[in-house]
Amino acid sequence: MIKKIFFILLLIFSFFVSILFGETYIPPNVLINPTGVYLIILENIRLPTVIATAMIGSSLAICGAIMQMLLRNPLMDPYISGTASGGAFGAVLSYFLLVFNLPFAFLIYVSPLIAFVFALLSTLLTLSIGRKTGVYGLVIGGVVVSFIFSAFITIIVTLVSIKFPFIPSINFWLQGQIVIVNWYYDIVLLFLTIMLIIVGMKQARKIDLVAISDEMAFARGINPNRYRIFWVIIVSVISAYIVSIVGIIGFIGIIVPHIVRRMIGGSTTMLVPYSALLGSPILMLANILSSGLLGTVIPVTSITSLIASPIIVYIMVRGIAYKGS
Amino acid sequence: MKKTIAIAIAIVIIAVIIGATIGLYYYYYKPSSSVSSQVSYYPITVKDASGKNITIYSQPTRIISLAPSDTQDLIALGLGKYIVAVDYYSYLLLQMLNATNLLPKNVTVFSPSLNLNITGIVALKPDIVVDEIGLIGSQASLLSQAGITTVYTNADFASNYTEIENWILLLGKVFNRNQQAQQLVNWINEKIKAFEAKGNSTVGYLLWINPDYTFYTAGSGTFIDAIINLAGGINVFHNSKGYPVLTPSNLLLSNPQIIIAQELTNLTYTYYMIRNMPGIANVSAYQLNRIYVMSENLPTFLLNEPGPLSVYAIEMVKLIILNQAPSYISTQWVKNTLNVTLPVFE
Repeated sequence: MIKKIFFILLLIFSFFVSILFGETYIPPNVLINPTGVYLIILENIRLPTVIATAMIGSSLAICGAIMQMLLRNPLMDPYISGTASGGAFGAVLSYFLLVFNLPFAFLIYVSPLIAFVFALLSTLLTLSIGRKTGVYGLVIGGVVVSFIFSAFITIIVTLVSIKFPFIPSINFWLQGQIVIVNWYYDIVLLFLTIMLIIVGMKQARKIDLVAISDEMAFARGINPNRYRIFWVIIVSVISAYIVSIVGIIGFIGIIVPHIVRRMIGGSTTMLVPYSALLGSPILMLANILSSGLLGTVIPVTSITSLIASPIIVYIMVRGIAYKGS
Repeated sequence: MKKTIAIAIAIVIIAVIIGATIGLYYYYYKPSSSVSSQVSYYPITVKDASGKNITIYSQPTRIISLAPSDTQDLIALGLGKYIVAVDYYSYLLLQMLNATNLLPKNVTVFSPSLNLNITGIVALKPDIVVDEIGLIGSQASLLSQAGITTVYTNADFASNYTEIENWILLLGKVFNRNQQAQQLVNWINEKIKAFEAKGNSTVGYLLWINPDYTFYTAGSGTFIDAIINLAGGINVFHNSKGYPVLTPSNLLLSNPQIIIAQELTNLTYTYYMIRNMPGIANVSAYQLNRIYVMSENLPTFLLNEPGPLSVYAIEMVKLIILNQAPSYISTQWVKNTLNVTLPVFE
């Protein structure tokens, strides 16, 4: 009970702090009765961005937890499916067309959509590679697809850098940055997050069953490989959408489920709601650091990487990754 | 007899006049314009932007310039005819000014690349390479390993005109063009005096708008900040240092009366990004219809390449502040209005 209250208090605290400390500080007394420019910032920028951060944190944490259960590997992350690289490639590609005045340069205006399409494409590519090779083939397929799209991104980034040598704007897609998210994106995110939580909770027992063994899943009438593919598609759709609006945000899917497992428990019925509850504050706090830690905006993945690396090392040293979760 | 004496006197007078003329010509002109007679000037040792002492043993006559600001300096010092190769952006700038004739016809133009074309440089057998230390970075060691004498400037990171002038004087010393360097510095100072203005209009400069609406700007200690001040404006992001990434919240809080944005690959996209920036409708510049977009070509070059031509950027920004410029600052408008000309001191 105390842990549950702690999680809820942490969520409230991080939400409040995120409202105050973004790239621009909003004094608490202004927050009580916001007027003028602060009201505009709150309404148009800060509030939708903080809400989006909370939902992105929840979604990524749940996605990570479910993938880890289904693939029996606590180091799995939604991005292993190659989704992130595909999404980043889509965004960078639309920039490339614009920079070099190539046909279809108008795609820059629907850049998030292009990112989304390529993220989905990369996931389907991963699935087709892993279809006949099972769980581990899927993982290897994800890595290969990531390499392919990363290679394309490198080529495009190099060419763009030559045309505009001083412009590092593409970093935004590659390292993740939650600075401004519009209300429109919030509505879609809200729908996806609620859907993920509901489906995750309803399917928790099935996920647990597949996590225990394929034989038991078959005995209960579940085809484990098909079931995994079903979830990989859901996770990819959500990850792709997130990548398309804020770039690649890594490791939340590893950090949060690990903490939940240590503090609450390892079953899916616990992992899904508590990952949702803890994912939000972790990403909100990481985003505060990324928004103003060094006096400028730095990519949020660089912060989450620093938090995740000791956890990953711990999991590897303890051999948890080989024993299954 | 008298006739013979008169002829002799006339010959002597003519000889004296011719001798005096030749003597005066050599006295006044030859020391600064002839390369062959300057052997005694060298060797000379200078400390460049890398902090190292560089010794030049004879007059360099095969020069490679790898930065637009350096190329401007070298041409203005009358050294254009000795330049055997330039970087792509230097040539692009000269093309914009229709001034490629200031370089030899057979000049080599290196393709744009993130990496130094070291083999191409070596193949041209330069006496000296001039480059910007801030651009070459860690690749500087490649040139020294190849045994090429290189002089580094750091004008691209200058925060004011005095620093630019110091690099010009250094190049003057390296190439035995001290007199021309001083003339160029005087020219720059005269132009600054003619162009500068006083005022208190607040200006927000958007160097680049990222896809998520964060933007790069120029804060204190940057050349753009200095130009805005000289043009009679107040840079609203002066409290930030260098080239920070800021957000629309910062723009709302600073609320500039004028926004100057660099073109983002094309004009339609630039306007799209500015108009869709969250909260932009509440910024004074938007309400006053005082948002200016500068073409990515000559106008941007003037502001971003701290060389002699950058003095025209003061006048350009001044006209923007005085509301005497169009909302799109094109290359043609700049050329027609400002009569941008690179001076050459032979």
